[in-house]
Amino acid sequence: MGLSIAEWTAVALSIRVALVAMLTSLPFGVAVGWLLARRNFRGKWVIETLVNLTLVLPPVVTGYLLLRMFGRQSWFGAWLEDTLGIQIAFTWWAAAIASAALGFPLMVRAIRLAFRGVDPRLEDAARSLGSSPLDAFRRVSLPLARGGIIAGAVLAFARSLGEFGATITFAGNIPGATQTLPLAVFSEMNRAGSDGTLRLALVSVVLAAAALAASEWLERRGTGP
Amino acid sequence: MTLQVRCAHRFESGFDVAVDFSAEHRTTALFGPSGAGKTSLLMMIAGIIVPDSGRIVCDGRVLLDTAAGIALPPESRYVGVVFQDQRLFPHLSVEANLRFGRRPRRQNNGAPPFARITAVLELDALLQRRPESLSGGERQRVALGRALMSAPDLLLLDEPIAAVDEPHRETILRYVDRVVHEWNLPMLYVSHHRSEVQRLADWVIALDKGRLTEQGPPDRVLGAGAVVAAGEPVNLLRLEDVSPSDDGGWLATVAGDAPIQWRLPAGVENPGASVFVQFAASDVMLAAGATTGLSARNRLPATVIDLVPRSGRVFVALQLGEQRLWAEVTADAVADLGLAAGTTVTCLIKSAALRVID
Amino acid sequence: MRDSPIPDDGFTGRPRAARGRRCPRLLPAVLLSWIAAAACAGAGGSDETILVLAAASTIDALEAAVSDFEAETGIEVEISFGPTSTVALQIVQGAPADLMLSANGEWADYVEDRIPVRRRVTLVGNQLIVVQPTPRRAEDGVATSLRELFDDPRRRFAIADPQSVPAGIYARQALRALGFWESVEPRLIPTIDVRAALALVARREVDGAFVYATDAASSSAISYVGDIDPLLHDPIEYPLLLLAGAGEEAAALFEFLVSARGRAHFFDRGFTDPSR
Repeated sequence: MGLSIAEWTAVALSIRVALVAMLTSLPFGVAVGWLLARRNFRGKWVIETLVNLTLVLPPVVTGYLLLRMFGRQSWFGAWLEDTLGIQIAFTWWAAAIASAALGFPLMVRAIRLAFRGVDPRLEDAARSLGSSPLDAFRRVSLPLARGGIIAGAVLAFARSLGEFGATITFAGNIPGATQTLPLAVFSEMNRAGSDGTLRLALVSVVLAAAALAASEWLERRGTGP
Repeated sequence: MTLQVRCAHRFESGFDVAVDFSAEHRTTALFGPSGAGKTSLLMMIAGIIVPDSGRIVCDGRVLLDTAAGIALPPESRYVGVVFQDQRLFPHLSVEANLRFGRRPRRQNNGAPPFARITAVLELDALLQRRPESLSGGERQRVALGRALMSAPDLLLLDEPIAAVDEPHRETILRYVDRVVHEWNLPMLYVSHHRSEVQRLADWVIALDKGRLTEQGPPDRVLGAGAVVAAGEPVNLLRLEDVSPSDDGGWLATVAGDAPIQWRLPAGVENPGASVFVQFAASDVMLAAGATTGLSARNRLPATVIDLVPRSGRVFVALQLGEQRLWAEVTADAVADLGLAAGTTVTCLIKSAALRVID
Repeated sequence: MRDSPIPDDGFTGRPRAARGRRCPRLLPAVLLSWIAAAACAGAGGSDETILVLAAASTIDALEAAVSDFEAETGIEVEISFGPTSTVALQIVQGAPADLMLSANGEWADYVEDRIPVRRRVTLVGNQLIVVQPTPRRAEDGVATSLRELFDDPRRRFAIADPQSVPAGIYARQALRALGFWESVEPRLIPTIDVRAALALVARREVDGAFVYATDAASSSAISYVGDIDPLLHDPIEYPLLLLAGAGEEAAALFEFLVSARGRAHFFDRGFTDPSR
């Protein structure tokens, strides 16, 4: 089973976009997950709604909203292009942003659960031993929440591998630049008499399995002696 | 060590605490029943809870002064805490737990060395173990060692022996003893166990329902009068040198000028070296003269200190060595016996009236 | 529990910053991945490259025509294929496209009403047909006419969503004109596009489907039933738009596509000549 160059490009791009989306949203995922797990405050429901928004909206709608916010017609997008010469829509940045947006609620969900399972009084103990709040978080709560954080990251990564609606709307279907695996499958399905769909589907399965295996390995590495 | 604490705080549950005391001794105990507010107070001294208002000064260092807007965070107070549930870090080994609080810089030179702590607390064999594989007593020792490693100026212990079962409690107390003697570290600890408090404390602060009820040396605070049931004093005496009697029971002596044999009530099992016995004031009969031909086995000479009339009865406060005793008599009995401050009487107490308590 | 209730309100003086960030170790990894991705992936829509946004149904023909153009002129062209509705939306929101190939006139009108368009030409047309699964055994019920197919109350049909997809819209217009809409409509299975409808009928999930002649040629699992008379619906047209802001090279591509040579790539695959 050989893949054409275009197909390999789509695979590589998918992995890159998923990695970037996952890594950049991880700090925010940890922060928001911690906040929602540990703090109660007025307006908390607003944050929860915003976080889960992309989970509930159809992905195409999310893509459309992103397009309206960052496209050339938006004031922000226009400013970026005129002042800094930066264009977001229809670049791989857009693909990463779309993936990050769709994966974020899944990531936060898992991370929040993880922090919920960590006794906050352990941080009190750490502070009585001389740790600053940040130190206590970093040395106690974070390692203990590690499993859930990894799970959240993998979820976001996997979601990104399968992301279609928001990506095709916000980033377009440009081979080599924004044509991720799901988009490549879409194009393939529109070609007459082609069997590439199955090949690409199998590749997707392999990628998903690899992501899962990597997360298992990461998890085991952390719970050593 | 001088510790001045003044705090007032109302919790969400409605429970409120308001205390004002100072402690100048090496080992001070916070004593009182469950729900008295002892642990909350400890957490306020540690900085984990910030009270609504208050001022806490330790050896001249202001840890808290709400009026002046000062509230040092826990990490800046140099107050070590041994929590009731130990709160060891489950993801770290015992050694990593111990070393957790080791600060890179420390102003004063008094930080106990790691090797010494593990020696005193006998932790060497446990260093590579994980907290969840340790017994309650072992965890308590590790928690103690961990707090010591952070070189605190003051050590707070929350019910050190509560989480440990009976056979090992003595062991923990011994370790705390060792710590006290090795490093001379000021300690404030919370307990509702009389024997523990009696054993370790130089000074006792009694708390109930969030308020201070008494403070003083252990004997006085733990003795009669400190525990009040329905507004009437209840007698509480400490007896020592428990030894078995001929008929299968136990004998003990009450500390004082001259040891007096007491017979403990039937059915007491393995009382330990010393016990506390509780009995009502109305169980104490007074005799002005010789006492022969009476069934009550326990007779002790005491001196009248005070007479407190209350709704038709008179409560007589008696001094027994360093401890205090209350007897309840009628008004004409007072006149009959000629009771007054300074009078010597014999107190008669039936063994059956005694109740051995913890 | 033993003592007074320890409230869970924590240390009231805790600074907001305590919500904590991921270990600083991660920062270099994040930066590295962005740089790596930036270095490898193309930017898409750069100045020298022409960007065409086109309806997915034209993928084979357009790719062939563009390859021809690239070979001939050496100018690079990027094509982004998607549903026509998405394509139109993207262009109106400012997508950096030079050309648009729409699968129907209405979406082209939509775009033209909102943003300046330099040129518009109907590039090609198509023929709507009805297909059914190829019978495997002699006994399999085979419809020999459209009427026979539609009259049978048990038969179900796949159709590209008649509310938004051009092919479905045309089919709906024809069914209305023929008077079959009421009886057939409850038995319609709308799909996301024509290819999906084709897949359903090829897998025998439905008894018939409305597809384009260009799609049907490729599959042996389906057999032809009949043409839909073009007069029954709006003309099927594929407008090609040259958008404002497009450069000279884009204009050259436009000229190439509307030329006989460019169009030939489409006619070869079953698209019809709109000029008739």
